[in-house]
Amino acid sequence: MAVSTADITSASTSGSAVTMLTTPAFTITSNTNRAGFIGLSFNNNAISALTGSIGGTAGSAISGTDSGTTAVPRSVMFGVTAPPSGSQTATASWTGSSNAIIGATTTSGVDQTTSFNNGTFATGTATPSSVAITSTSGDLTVDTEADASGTLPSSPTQTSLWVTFTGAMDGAASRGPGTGTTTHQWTVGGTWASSGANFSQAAGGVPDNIGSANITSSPGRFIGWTA
Amino acid sequence: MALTSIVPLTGALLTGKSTFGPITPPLGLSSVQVAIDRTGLALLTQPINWQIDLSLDAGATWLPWGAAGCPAGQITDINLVVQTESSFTVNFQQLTDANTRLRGSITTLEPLTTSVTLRMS
Repeated sequence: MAVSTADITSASTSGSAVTMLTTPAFTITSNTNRAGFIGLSFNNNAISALTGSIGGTAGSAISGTDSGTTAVPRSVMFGVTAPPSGSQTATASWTGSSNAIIGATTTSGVDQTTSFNNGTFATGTATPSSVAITSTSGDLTVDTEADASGTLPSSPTQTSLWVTFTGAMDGAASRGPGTGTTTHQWTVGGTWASSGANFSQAAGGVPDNIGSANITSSPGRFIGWTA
Repeated sequence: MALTSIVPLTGALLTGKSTFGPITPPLGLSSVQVAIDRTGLALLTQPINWQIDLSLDAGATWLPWGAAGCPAGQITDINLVVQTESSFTVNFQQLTDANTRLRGSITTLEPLTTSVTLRMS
């Protein structure tokens, strides 16, 4: 079962001098094998004690995604397995005031044991930001970018999920297909940090766009048999 | 679109939740910044949280539409500049129209003096 691109939903919020941010409500699919990530961008790389949740389900930092103190902007990604469906929000909190951006994206068709893997990050001082994420066909790669240039990130090489700013703090995220190695780039105006991770597809099942429930239980199909 | 600024709540707040709105924003706007004034928080110690709700049907139903929290006390940015506001910014689901409404609240654990400003564009 490939990670669904049809079920992807996202929301984001930016904040200044804050220690907690919550997104607007967004609708999470009721399809099975749900998972979501929270992308965080900070202009204060000394913050600590990060937490993240989607729909009240706590997540954890995806291993390898935290740029930490490598650069002045900081990016990190949290993964949440099996968030509740319906109208939900995502929340992150931390210790130490910062300008920050939170965004969350959820979808279905994700492995419920190892929902996220291949976490990585990169930093740099010149455009474009660039992070390469290892994946396999049917997976979904995602990145979260942070920079403090005051110029909105633009021209993503993958599909944009959000682009926003607060003061001179900019953040963005994008998604890409599992292709072996997927590179996510943004045109940026200054020093940047970019985290990346891979949504691992659920094992077995049928291709996402067919839907086994429709084949076995659609009333229309049974009417066809009795007509 | 010009910036529209509204101050729906200001003055001394008691411990607990203080609410504001519903507010009918001007038409055709795409985002809102919700800021709290920090100038009266320098000697305080307890965290402050604030949030807004959005209605697209003139107040019949509401969705949580962003929230933030911040520490009290005097805080500085990474350049050691004292911060006089804490804020969050969200986009509206669609451009504001005649049925758009906003409401919100600020929750404190100690009495304080502040104001909430909505800057919409």
